Amino acid sequence: MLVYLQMIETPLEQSKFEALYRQYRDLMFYVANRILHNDRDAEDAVHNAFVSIAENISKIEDPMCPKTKGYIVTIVEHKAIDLYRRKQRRNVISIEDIHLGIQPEPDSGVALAGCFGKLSDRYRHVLMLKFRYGYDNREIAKLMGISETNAAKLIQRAKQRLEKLCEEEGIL
Amino acid sequence: MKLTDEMIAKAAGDYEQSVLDSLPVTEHAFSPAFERRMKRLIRRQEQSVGYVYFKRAVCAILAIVLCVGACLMLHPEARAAVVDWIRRQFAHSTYYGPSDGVYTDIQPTKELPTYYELDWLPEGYSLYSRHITNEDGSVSYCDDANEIELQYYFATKSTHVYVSNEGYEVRYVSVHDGGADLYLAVDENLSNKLVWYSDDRSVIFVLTAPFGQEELIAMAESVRTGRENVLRYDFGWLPEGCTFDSCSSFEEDGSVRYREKYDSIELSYDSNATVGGIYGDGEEKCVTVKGYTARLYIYTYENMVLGSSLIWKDEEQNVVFRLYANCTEEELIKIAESIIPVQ
Repeated sequence: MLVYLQMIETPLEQSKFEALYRQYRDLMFYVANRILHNDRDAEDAVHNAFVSIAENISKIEDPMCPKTKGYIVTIVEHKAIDLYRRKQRRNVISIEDIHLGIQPEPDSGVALAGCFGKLSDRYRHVLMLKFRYGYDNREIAKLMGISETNAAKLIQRAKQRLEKLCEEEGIL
Repeated sequence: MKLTDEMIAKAAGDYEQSVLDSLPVTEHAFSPAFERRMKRLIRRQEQSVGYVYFKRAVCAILAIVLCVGACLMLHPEARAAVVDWIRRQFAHSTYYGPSDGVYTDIQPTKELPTYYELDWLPEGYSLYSRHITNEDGSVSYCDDANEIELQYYFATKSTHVYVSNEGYEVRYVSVHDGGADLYLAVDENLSNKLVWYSDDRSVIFVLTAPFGQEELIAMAESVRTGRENVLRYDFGWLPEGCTFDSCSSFEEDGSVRYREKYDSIELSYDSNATVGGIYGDGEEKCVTVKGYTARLYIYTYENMVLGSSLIWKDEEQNVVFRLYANCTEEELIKIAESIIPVQ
């Protein structure tokens, strides 16, 4: 009974999506274009990112907060790398050494964050989705276009890789 | 010291902040094609939000009606108040569904469902994309700046089509001597909509276009079953029990999907692609499909096969094929070898 008496939402999610679009589309294009170096491909990546965002709009609370901005950047970065891999002419052999995404300044100031930045794009994205934005394995699998089993395995490997990097840096 | 989940979350947050700090403030002039695609996406969000809003309103109304059922029977004033409240809750969306007890009995089959397209279009518009499933479909046409979209829904027992009427003036018009609802947008930047049923009321059509009543009705009355195949390639052989799920096509690429008991078989084809890699965890090897070298990926986990992907380029047709299925290597190659162009 109480479930049925919950507050009815207005077209809040509609205006939230549009607000995200207006606020971040230029930034998203910049991020995508840095990876793809092609205006048309970058626009494709931005559109694909918004499709993903639309499917998960309920996960976003405040369109203007820094966490949302980071989430948006992560999604479009992932989509741009996806598109890059599909369009490149040479074979992708190993996912271990691929760093196509945005790289921050070398001196990140925090050692563990520095190790985080050294992860491959795929490992970094899956850890961001899991531990920063709170996605469960099923949602991550859907976002990344893989099975839930593979998503769980990918998270485990990413954590192992991060742990190894931290050990090499003497952090752990 | 062991790496904990809390440490990972903190590292992710610190890394994210450093990335955001490094990003500049920029602007970009997006292409008309991009703006058009985003307009469509925002419009679809608007429709899906309307559906969620409407569904929750119906749940609340039903709960209230059940609780005060006896009171309503005894007090006419209360009944009138509730009817007025229900009318106000439905004011922002119009519901279309199977009418007069007519249901289309759709059973999943290997055959494609009927699909529709427009026989008459305003000047300058050409076909952009088509998409069909067992329950609905759409076809869209574009010129340099705008889009016309025809969506159709097969009226089954579970069909629920909600069309937002907020920001629209709704008029009753005639299509093929039958009734139709014309939604005229108050905001001239929005497209108008026309909603009507097929003659036997087994299909619900929703036409969205930046045109007035006359053009919308002309397009609606020109709707016919499709003549050109949406599907350009199909399977000549599939494992027993597979049924058609959906297909889509664009100018240079398309896809088709069949459903198995627990998984799906998906084929995508692209005449403007190259054979790239497949990323993921699994075993990779080269095989031959129709005389061409193909890359086979078998995804496994703890000696369990999770699925396989096969990519190859048919040089004669200049098309790159990507096939996914959860079956043995032999079956996958057999499925790939059976792919034929649809006449």
